[in-house]
Amino acid sequence: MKPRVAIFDMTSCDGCQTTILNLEEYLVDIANAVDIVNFRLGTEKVSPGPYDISIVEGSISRQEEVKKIKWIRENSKTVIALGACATHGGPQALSNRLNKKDIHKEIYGNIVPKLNSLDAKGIDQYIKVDHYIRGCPIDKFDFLNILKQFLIGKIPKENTNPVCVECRFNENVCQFMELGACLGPFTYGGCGAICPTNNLPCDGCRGALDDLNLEAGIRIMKKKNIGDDKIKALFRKYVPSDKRYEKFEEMLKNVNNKT
Amino acid sequence: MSGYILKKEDFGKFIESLKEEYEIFAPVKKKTYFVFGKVDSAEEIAFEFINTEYSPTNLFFPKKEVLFDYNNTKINNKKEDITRVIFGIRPCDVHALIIMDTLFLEANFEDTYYRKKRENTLLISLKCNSAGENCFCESMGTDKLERGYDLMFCEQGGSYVVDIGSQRGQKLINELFKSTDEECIKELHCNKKLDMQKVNQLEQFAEHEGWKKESEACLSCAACTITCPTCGCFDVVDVPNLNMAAGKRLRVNTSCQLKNFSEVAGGHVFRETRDKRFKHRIYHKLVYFKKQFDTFMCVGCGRCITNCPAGIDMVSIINSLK
Amino acid sequence: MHHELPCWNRYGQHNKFIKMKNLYVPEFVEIDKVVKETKDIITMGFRHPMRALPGQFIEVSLLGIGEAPFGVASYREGYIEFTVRNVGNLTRALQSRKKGDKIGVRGPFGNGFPMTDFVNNDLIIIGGGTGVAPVRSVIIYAEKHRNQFGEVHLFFGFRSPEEFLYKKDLENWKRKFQFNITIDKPHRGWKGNVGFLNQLVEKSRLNNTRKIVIICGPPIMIEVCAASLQKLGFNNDQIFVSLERLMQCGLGKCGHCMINDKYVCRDGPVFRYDKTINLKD
Repeated sequence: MKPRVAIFDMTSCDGCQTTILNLEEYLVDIANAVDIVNFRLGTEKVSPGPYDISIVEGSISRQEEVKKIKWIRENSKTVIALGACATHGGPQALSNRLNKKDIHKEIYGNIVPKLNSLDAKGIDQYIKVDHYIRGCPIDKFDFLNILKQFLIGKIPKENTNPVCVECRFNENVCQFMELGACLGPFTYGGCGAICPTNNLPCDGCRGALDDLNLEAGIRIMKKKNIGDDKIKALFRKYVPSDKRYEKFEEMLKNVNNKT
Repeated sequence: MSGYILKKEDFGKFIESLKEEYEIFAPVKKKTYFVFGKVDSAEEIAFEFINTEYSPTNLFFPKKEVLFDYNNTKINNKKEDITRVIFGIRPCDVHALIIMDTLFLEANFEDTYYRKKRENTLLISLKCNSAGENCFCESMGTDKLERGYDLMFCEQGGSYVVDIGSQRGQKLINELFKSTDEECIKELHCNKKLDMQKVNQLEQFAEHEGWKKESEACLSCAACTITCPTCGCFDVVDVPNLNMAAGKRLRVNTSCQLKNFSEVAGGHVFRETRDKRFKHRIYHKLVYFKKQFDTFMCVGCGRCITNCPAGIDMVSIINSLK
Repeated sequence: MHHELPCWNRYGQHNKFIKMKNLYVPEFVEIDKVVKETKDIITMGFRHPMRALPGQFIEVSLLGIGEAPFGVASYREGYIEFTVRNVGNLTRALQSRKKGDKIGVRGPFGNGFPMTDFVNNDLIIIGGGTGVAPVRSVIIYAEKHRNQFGEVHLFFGFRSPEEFLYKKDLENWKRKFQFNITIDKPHRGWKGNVGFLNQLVEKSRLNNTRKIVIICGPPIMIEVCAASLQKLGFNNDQIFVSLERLMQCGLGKCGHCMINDKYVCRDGPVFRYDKTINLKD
């Protein structure tokens, strides 16, 4: 029997799910290999659990989603976090550092509906996640590769190379050396270094690596005359719910004190 | 051996004559720097480069290479037979290939994929007119080239003086070339000098605190090893098709600067700290390889220095060891 | 068009090019037997004409999943056995393979134990956990060439009786050799030795005359056993160990198993212990 795969979404823009649909030439093969039983963008079919693989897009930002994600975990053999929102909160987690009331007022004006909103967090803050497919949006071939590994019975190994590895494979000019405002050396690779290959600095959307040398990185950025605000903004964009962000601000202070 | 001379105005015709039999790779301009690329005409070839940002070793040891395709247990590793000419390879990079030969063509442990590409590729080297700021080939003795090339071009006024390095190279000589007794000698002087005495004493510095201190600046981005013309470490990766029965096995270039490089099943990492990885690269290049193969694994091209975002300079680190 | 490229041996001398096969491509063999040793360890056997010396290893592939090195656990003409502990993707997938299934194999690789240099010596063979797998090949070798060696002392350590490998062989070796076995912690129904292997070695009071020691197991076990042997008067050059690293290609190319100027896959995995002292990352 084909494995039952369900795709769910929490708070997100659906961009990562759309990226899956962009795997046009592989969609038939995917449909032959797995039984997609829940995919709002792809099929009207909704089947009850249990599922072999649940792929979850989006951050947990509302009380209802906490319940839903726990239900998904209970009903799935494997749970995969899909995209930056599910892996570490995503851009909406920027609001975690702001006052909720102020934001609500900014958006809804004086009549604020009942929202039940929480700090936006990656799904692994609530449940055990078996694997992460990183990026904003995800890379479709990265997705395909990880899916195939699950199908053949492997537990995929996280790609812990920095973006720089694939960037150098593509014989690119180093954006970090040119601009200083590139997060390639600090970010999980696996995206094929798509941004630097197209002349854009890395935005850090895949999240901060474990083996990163932030202090050295900040030093270099400062040497390139990048201001503290810009540095903070760079690092905050995709890792605001990351516990290490606090450590990062501390480190920035240290570097400033030393220089 | 008396050499030949080729007028610059005939260079285009020479490239045309090569095209009939070979694919031609040469330095081309990419944005602000130079890389090796496939060219169709002489106009595409860049001459104003000191050296390419990325090394021509990539044409022999690609960053990603299919070892074989499989379908169940049927294995197919047949490759198209393409004969290539690399024009404009610098002497240091030819030396790099000679070093890679010692590793990849070692008796009983031969690498079929590398050999095939080496056999199918002719090297037309181009002597340097001047040294770049990070070149230290003079110290490594790789500024001069006595073997390993098929033809060696040397720019002299309106012509190239051409030296023949092999029988294969001799066959490329056609009516465009004229015999000459002229010799083309270029004396290169590198501003950067590696203290070879220090290099020979490196083993004494194995526990030196300098490694820890210097590695604090390292981002572990692997730029040094990926751009190095003599770095050839790799991972073997299987990529199945969606039907799971067929797929391919690849090798993908990797780097000793990455933490995952020395990780074994079960999760233990042998070179966990950055200073150990940092030291390993330098020692492999200048100590370990020398012990194994009696030659340095460094040609002084300076790419690891040029491409380091943290500005780490192996040469000045070694020179200042005390 | 054929171009003669230099072919080097590792001392920089020219070797005439010998047409060689592609060393990266595995050969497919049928699994001939699967023995369940413990809850997460199996031993597999297959027929193959390759001659593996004790201490050598092979690379085993399941296409699509990957490849991993395994020490050869047997010494028999035309037949190879290896033992698999479930620690990762490939080893987990191997657990579900049955007799008649196909696996890819390459090898044998590595130097193996220099058994002919050990002739006329007593052998002290120490194995802990899955480290017993490579020493099994040594023991079988000693069995087959019994008159070449003096006394054979065996020291085995396992976590508990449930973790014992090669139970049939253990019974056989008990009768033939000086046999010692220990488990890490007391266990219900176990009346034998309890404690670490090095304690057992120390208790033996062996002297170092005409003796060769072979140790396989986790790095820490090798270290403490060697220290105990030193207390008994053994020299480090009498001790041979097998090291473990991530050996991917087996050919000294991929770089993963490199320790200083040694490739574990090609210069090892067997090293004389005194030569490993300086092998630090």
